[in-house]
Amino acid sequence: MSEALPVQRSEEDSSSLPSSQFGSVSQQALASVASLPAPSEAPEDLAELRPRDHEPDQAAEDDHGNARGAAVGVDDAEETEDEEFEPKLKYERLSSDLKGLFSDDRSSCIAVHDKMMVLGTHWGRTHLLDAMGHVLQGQAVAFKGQHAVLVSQISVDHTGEFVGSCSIDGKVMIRGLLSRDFNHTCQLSSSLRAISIDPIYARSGAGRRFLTGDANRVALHEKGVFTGYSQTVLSEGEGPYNVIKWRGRFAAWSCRKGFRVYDAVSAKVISLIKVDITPREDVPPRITWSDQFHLYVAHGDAVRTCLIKPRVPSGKPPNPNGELPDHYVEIVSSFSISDSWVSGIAPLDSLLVLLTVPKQKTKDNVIIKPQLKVVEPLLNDYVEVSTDILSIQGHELYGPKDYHLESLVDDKFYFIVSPRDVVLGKPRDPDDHVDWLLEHEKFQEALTCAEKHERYLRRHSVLDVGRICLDQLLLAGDFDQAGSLCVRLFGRDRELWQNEVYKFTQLNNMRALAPFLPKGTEFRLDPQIYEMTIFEFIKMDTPGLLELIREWDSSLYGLNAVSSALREALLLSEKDPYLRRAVATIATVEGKYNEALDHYLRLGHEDAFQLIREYELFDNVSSRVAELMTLNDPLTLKLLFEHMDRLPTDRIVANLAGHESHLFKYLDMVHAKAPEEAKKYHGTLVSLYADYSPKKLLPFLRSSDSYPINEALEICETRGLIPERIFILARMGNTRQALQLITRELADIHKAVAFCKEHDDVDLWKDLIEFSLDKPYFVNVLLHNIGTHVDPRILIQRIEHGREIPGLRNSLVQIMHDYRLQVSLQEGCQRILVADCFNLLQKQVRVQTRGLCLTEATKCAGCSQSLVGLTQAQSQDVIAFHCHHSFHFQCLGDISKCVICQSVTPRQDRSGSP
Amino acid sequence: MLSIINRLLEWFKSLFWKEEMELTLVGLQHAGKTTFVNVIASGQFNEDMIPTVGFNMRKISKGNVTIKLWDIGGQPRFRSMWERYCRGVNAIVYMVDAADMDKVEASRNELHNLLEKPQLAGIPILVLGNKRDLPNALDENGLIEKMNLNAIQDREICCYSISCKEKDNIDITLQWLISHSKSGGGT
Repeated sequence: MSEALPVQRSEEDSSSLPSSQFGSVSQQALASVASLPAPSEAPEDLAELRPRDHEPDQAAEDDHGNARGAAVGVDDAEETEDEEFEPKLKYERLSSDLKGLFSDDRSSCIAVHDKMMVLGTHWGRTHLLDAMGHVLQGQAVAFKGQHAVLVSQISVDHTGEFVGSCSIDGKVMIRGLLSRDFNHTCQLSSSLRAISIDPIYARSGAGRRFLTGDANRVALHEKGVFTGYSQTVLSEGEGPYNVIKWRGRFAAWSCRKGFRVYDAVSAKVISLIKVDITPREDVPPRITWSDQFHLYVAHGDAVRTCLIKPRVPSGKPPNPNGELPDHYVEIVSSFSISDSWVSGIAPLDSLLVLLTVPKQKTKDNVIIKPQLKVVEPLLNDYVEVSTDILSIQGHELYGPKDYHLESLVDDKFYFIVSPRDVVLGKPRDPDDHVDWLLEHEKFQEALTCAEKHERYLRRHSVLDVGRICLDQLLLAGDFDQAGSLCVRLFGRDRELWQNEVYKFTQLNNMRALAPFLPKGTEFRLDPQIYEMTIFEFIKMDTPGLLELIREWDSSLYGLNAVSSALREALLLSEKDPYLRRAVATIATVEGKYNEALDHYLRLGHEDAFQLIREYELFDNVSSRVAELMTLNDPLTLKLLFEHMDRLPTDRIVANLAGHESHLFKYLDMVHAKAPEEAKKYHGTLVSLYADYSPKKLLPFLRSSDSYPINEALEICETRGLIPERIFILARMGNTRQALQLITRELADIHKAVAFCKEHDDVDLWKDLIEFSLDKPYFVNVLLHNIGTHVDPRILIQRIEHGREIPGLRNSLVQIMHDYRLQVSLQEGCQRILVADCFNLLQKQVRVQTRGLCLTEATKCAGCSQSLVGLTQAQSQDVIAFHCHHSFHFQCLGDISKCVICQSVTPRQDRSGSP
Repeated sequence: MLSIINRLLEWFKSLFWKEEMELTLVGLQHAGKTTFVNVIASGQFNEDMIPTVGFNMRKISKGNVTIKLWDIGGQPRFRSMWERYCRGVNAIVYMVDAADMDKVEASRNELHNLLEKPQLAGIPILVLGNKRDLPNALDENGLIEKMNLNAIQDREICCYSISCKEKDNIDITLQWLISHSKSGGGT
């Protein structure tokens, strides 16, 4: 048997030694769960601790030790069927020291204190253990003495300095760990089963009390100040009293009817918690306190959780009715586990932890393994939260009373004691949670959990979990997720990046990682990594490659390596447009603009324009303008126009020679936008317009005067462009020929009329009339229009006799009408003129007959002397004309006219009459 | 009869004078924790000590102060329980072998790990550099630096260099400890 006991793994970390996990089991079906990690030295232990299914054949599979992680998924088939619950607790075996103890002895009871444990055995030994189950050697000196037979109960006081124990021969020992001053030993009835020492055993004045229980009575033992111990019987006749536990002011003990609660302050039994169960030797009563007011009891399959409450709320005067105790017990929950015996009970927050042994046995009448159930207590029922099956060594031999469950409520430590084993159940920490999630392939959740609880992780780290997660994603082929995970995990740690990147390279999937690679100026990886990525793209994804080359700063990678690799690749697959563009991009980066432009032009890609603009490659433009035009003429034209200063028209025209249509577009553009520049080429333009855009020719001919007119005429003639020829002819002054063209070629009388009106030449009209005479419709039109320009009689007279002209009458009426209109117009004009003349004449007469004023200032127009003398003697005769020129009579001599304006009639005026 | 009177006197004294305190002594193995306990308890120095398994619990009376001392094993397998034994004590005494340069770093890590525990927040700590009688032993300043004690800001901290063998500085250590008894003692 001994070889199956725990082996110490190492000095370094005995606490987590043969640790194992118990799978949680769903309520419907108890599925066993794959186990985890086990140190290879102790495979048997692992097997022992591993949860098992009810089927015995499962055991064989579980029994061989599994290497770390390898066991994941052993029971896959079962797992997938039932939704899995993560266990509440994890389990580990206590120190290996215990193995030595159990080699020839078995545990019978245990007392657990915050800082130590005391284990009682069948051979009457009491072992002092530290919190992790190491047997304390050094303390043995103070903790002397042993029982001779099975130790039935052990009790430790609050300070952890005093240990009380009793054995089934009736011996009671109370021992101090620090001094022997308060040690006490006594012999009681041989049916003694229970002992509990006062939590404040050694406090001065407390009386070093302890309670004992045997088949018949519960007794309180108390030491007087100067006297010995005295006994008080607290309860009698309800035995057997198998277990007593004292916490704070209250103590509870089991009895035939259930459990009694005793108040040590008021020295009264305050309550009976009834449990109806037929007393049986093999199902033990169990009592647990979580503090002095919370009590948990179980007997057989019945469970009660109780709360001790003051009868009168604190602050009010005590109950005047002295009969009733100060406190009462309220049953919070009361239920039975139908299929199991409860052999241990402990609280877990608001839940209960129950150590149970199934009532049913296997077909061969073997006791089934005990279970640790976590249940949520309800008023009269319970809800099972999880059930862990405990693989306790030798469980076939043990009944419910052989197991004990003790707990440290604050730490949520649960000590599961069986005769040859002590297992510690602990709450699962984030590490365990991560373990569980990883085991169940919930990698993302594991990572989230690890990140959330990063500070509390001991075994795991965010990075490790992340790596597992990453590997998993890579395995699943979810490279995008994997890439973003890399960013999340590695941040700015170059080494981490570079270590993980190789995984992507191995899978030929650097492409997925590419968007996530750090590319900042302050943090980047080795150039080789970027190069590898680019090389992979060259091989597998040229469109992606192009994007990458454009996006990535060229300083990320070795330009030479990348550019030569690209060029090589291009040689092999010349027709890959993406590859070529990538090469062009690289060439641009390298400053080889010509090459880049070459590639773009070969591809016919419009990036060429961007390249030209960006790098001002105007020399290249002028020499390759034809190619550019072929590629995209609007863009080329735009470019040419915008940079006309750098791209002189002459050069472009010269380079476009031979590309008529390009030349046309170019010159057309120049003509439209910069007419001055185009003047030189108007001659060329005429023929170009004639060829490529005849509609534009006429407006052009009209607007321009810098084309050789004869050539133009010739061009139009050869191409049969009549309106243009008419225009040119008219412009040359050859109106008659032009009219001929209109009438003969176009046969358009309206146009002809308009032409004649425009040029208003009688000869032209005559020509037109001549031409129209044999065309009645023409005549008609002429008759309609001619009236205002030439004498219609010319036309009418020339109309042949007998020629039928449609609408002639109307036309004649029109002519007549026009004529009359003209006559009346002339008459009206005449009347207006006459009236005007008369009015003006009247006005002149009125003005001229007005008086003339001659003053001293008025000078003679002849001698320029004042006309009017101051004295009579000086006065001379004066002649004033109607033209207001006045003369001295002498000055005028015998001339009878005004010498200045030849006005005849002088005003007869004599001197002295101013 | 005399013993009865003596005990009676003791009892009376204890009614008015007695102070109690609880200390936990931790540190790497072979730093001299148990030796230190022996020295302050009985003044006896014993070179050959058996490594402590689990813990030793001792009660020492110094003047009117009763010190309950948890002396915890320093081997790696016990370190995870240090925290449990340090909970709720009046002060933690952390023993360092000042002459063992190889272990100072491990010691520093363990100390800082321990003090990170939320349950131990605010508990005063006394760092003792033992074995100052040996050549090359770190003095107080060396210890403060090597143990990165300046980083501990959230509690009272003190550092002495002592020698259990030569009983150097044991008295000031005790004084410091007694001054941290429940009432701040030392009256």
